[in-house]
Amino acid sequence: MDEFNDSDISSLLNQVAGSSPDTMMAHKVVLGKVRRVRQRRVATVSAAAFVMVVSGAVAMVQNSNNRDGVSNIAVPLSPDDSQPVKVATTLGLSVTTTTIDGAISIDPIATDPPVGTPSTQPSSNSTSPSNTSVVITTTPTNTQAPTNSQGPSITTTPSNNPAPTTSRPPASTPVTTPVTTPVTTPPVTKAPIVTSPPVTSPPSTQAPITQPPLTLPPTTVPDVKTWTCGGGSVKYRVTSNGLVLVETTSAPGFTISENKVRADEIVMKFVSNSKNDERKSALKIKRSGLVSTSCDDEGFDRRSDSEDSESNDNNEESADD
Amino acid sequence: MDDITQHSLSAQATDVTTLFNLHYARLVRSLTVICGNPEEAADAVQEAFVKAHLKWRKISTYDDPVGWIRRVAINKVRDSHRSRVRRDRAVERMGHQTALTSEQPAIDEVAELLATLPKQQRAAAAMFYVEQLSVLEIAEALEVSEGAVKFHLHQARQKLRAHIESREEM
Repeated sequence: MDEFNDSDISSLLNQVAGSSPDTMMAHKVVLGKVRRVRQRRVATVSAAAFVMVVSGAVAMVQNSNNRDGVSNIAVPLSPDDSQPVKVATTLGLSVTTTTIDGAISIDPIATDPPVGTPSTQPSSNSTSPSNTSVVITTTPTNTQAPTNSQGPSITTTPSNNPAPTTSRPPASTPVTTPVTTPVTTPPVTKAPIVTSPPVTSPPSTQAPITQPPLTLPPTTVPDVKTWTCGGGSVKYRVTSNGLVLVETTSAPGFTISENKVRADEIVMKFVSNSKNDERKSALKIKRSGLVSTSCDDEGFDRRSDSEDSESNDNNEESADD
Repeated sequence: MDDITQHSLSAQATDVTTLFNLHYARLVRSLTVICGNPEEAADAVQEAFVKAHLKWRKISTYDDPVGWIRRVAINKVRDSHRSRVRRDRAVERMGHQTALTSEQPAIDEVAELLATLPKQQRAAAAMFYVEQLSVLEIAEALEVSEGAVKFHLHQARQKLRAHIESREEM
C-alpha cells in the first residue's frame, strides 16, 4: 500500500476534487427526497387499498343481488309490453328457454296468425279473433316437444285460452291487444304452475285457470301449486323459507319410488306398479331465485297420453316465486 | 408504542445522518474525480443516501453500510455516464456536435488527463488518493480483486506521475 503513496498525486487529485460540498444543504435535500418518496408510497398503498375495498363492496352487492333474484322474478309477471322480454331472460335460466324463445319470436310477428296457427290448434283461433290464443298454445307445444309425455298438454292448453280470450274483449284494437296479452303470458306461466291439473281431477283445474286473471301477481299469494307428470302430481307451496310439499298424488298404476323434499328442491319419482311396465316419471321443482319445474317421463307414449287424459299440461315450466 | 416508534425513527435518522455528515463530502469529492462533474457526483451520492434512508433497516445490518452507499453512488455515476454517452452519440449522429461540446464541463489540464484514464484506473486513484481508502476497500467498492486494484493504481500512478514530471520540467 505504501508503494502507491504519493503526496504530489494526492494533492493534484484533491485539487480536481474541489472543495468540500455543503453537507447541511445536501442533507436537507436528501431528507426532502426521502419524504417525497415515502408520501408517494403511502399514497399508492392507500389508493390500492381503497380500490380493493370498493371492488370488494361492489362484488358483495352484486352477489347479494344475484342471491335475491326477486326483482327479476316480479317484473315478468306484470302485464306490460316490455316485460315479456324480461320474462324470457328470467326464464332463460330454467329449462323452459324454448318456451320463451317461442313466445319472443311470436311477439314481433304477433300480427301473423299463420306462425302460431299451424303448430297450434284451430280451436284457439276460433275462440278469439285475436292471435293471442295462438301464442299461448304455441308456447306449450314448443316446450312439450323435448319431452314425451306432454302431448296431452297441448289439448289442455286450449282450456287455458278462455282466460286470455275473455280478457281481450275490453281491448278495442284486435291487433295490438293480442300481442300484449300473449307476451305477458299469464296462461303460460301460471297455467302450468298453478293450475296444471293432476290426472285425477281435470275439472278442478279449469276453475283455477280462469281465476288468475292478468291482474293478480303470483308473487303475492303463496298459493298451493300443482305440478303434474305422467306418473303423478305434486302440490306445493312457495314460501319465503322455500318450497313446502303439500300433497303428492301418484297416477293410477304408479307408486312413488323416490322422494326428496328440501327447502330449495322437491324431487318426486314415480314408477309403474306392474313389472312389465317400464314407465317412469321424474318430477322436479327447484327454487333458486325463481321456481323452476321439470318433468321427465320415460316410456310414455305421447299419442296415447294425449288421447288419454289432460293430465299433463306441461313438460317443463318455470314460474316466478 | 408511539414513543418506541419515534425513538427508533430518530435513532435511524441519527444513524443515517451521522453517516451522511461523516462521509458525504468525501464521497462527493471522490466521485467528482471519477466522473469529472461535481454536480453529477453530488446527485449520485444524494440518491444513494436516499436509498439508504428508505432501506436502512436492512442496510444497517451490513458490515459496511458506507461501502454499500459508495457502490450505489458509483453505479449511479456509471449509469448516468452511459446514458450521457448514448445521448451524445445520438446527438452526434444528428450532426449537432456543438451541443456535445457545450455540455462538457470546463475541466482543467489535470482533469483532462484524468478523463483519458480508463474508468477503473480513475476510480481506483480517486478512492485511494482522495478518499484514502485501502486497497481492500477499493476492491470491494469496485467489485474486483485486490490485485486488479493494485494494477489499476499502478497504471494510474504512472500516468499521473509522468504528467507531473513533465509539468515540472516545463
